[in-house]
Amino acid sequence: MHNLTSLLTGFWSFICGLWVTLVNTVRPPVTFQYPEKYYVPLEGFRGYPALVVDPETGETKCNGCQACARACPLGVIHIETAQREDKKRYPVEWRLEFGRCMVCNLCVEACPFGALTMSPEYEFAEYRPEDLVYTLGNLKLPPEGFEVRRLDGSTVRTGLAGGGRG
Amino acid sequence: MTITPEFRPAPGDLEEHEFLVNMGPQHPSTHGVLRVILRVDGERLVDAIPDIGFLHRCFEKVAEGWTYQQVVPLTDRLDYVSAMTNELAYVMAVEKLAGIEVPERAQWLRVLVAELQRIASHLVWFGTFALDLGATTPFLYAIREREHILDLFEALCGARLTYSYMRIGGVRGDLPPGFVGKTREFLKLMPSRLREYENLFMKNRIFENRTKGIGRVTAEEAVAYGASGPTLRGSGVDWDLRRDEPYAAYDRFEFGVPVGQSGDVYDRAVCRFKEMYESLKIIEQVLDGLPEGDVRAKVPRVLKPPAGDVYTRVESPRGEVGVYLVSDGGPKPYRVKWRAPSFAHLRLLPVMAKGHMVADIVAIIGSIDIILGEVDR
Ligand code: SF4
Ligand code: SF4
Repeated sequence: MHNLTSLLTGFWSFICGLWVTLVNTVRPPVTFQYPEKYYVPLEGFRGYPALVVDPETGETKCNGCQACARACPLGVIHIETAQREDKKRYPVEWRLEFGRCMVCNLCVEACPFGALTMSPEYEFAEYRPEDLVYTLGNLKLPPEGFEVRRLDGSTVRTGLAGGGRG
Repeated sequence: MTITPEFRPAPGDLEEHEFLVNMGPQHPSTHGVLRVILRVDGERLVDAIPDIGFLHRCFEKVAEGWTYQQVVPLTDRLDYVSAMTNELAYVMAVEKLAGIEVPERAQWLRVLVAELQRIASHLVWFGTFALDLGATTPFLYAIREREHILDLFEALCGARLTYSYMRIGGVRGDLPPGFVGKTREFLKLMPSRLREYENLFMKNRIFENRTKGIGRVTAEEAVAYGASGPTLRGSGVDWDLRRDEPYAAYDRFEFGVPVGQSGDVYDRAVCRFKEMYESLKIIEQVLDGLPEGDVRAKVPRVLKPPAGDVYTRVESPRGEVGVYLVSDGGPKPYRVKWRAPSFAHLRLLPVMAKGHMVADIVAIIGSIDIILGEVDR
């Protein structure tokens, strides 16, 4: 008798399991066909630290104060500055060894002038390791910014001058 | 551990019964890089000796060279499945050392993310545990549900695994628009999905037969070996730091603590599984009563806590994460000692495994939910 009940309850547990599988078969898939479709990241996504560009002058807002370089735990930011005629300093070289960067956001928070932000780009593959050292040229964000999603379904643009969520 | 020649059968000696089997370091069910040396007598385990250290990254030494703020992202890399609770343990230690008051809203947000993290971590455990026992489907379902939480975290702090969200004196940022709504959707969806998992796996006869009575640990043994979390509660010890030694804002919430009885694989699994329901309850209460205010206290950029030492502990999904922090008054910690729950649980492995079949070791390792990043640090 005990064997029979055990057999029946065991059999019933399989039926329950199969029912769950059946229910899930008809649910819509949640997978995303990534390389075919571009995944639009959410606002605030941390891709890599990048420099915000002032749309009027086309220059970065950075004045080379080195606060970000000091805040970086790994020391992967290297900045060299020069002085303009109006005594303001500007970076002549802004180098990020992105291959070693851990995208921790500490440099962005450290910048007192809002010159740094996180770019929401995420496709970094390169053929040579040297190409993962980003310089001033490829660290400047495009002035039109990037389109990102929000959780409530709307889309906004980030990476614009004045933006940059600490 | 050295393998002494006495375990090796002598040439031509067919009477030798015990022999050694290496499980890992590359093995799908060791959850990372772990080698377990199994001494077997036929199909029976005589002993199971964990051999660790393959993922050692010198966390404690590296932390001594970095400032207090810079260590926060480093703690993400220890228990990478549950990064939020690691950060919480560390920032709490620094705050205690420096005497920093954390705003109320930040405390609530910490509870919110810690509980979301607990569910995410338990979902990974559930999926991989089922995978270890030969059921592929639950893994796919669990990862699908975890994606909801990862999306929330991505919007909250910009990353999906190494969050770097806690800051000394609070959290990095407030909730993004749409966060509360999405979390409520998740809260509505999740209980029905958990019941599906129960029907699919936790009540399945094959699962019960493979886990009941396997890897038994008595309450005394569990306490003696320093077990904590679901591994301890599965043995019938009713102890949860969130309730018994509340930190952050946990004393404001009502929740139950599932406790097992027999301390076998089944009880540990059920304890862990039921914890997800309790976490959902906590998240709901947080969303209902979230106070307004600042999320980050003013903390000097160069933080120099007074000389001294503190020990803080939090209940991570795996058990008690403890941080022992010594300061010499400078901007960098003098010593950081990390107490990882998985490390203590791995010491229980020989106790649990003795006398069982070789196939059961997979179920036992799965039930203690080790993360090798945390064991080796
Ligand atoms: S994100 Fe972190 S590791 Fe990368 S450059 Fe900034 S501070 Fe350094
Ligand atoms: S902290 Fe900001 S302003 Fe200063 S060097 Fe870095 S990017 Fe430039």
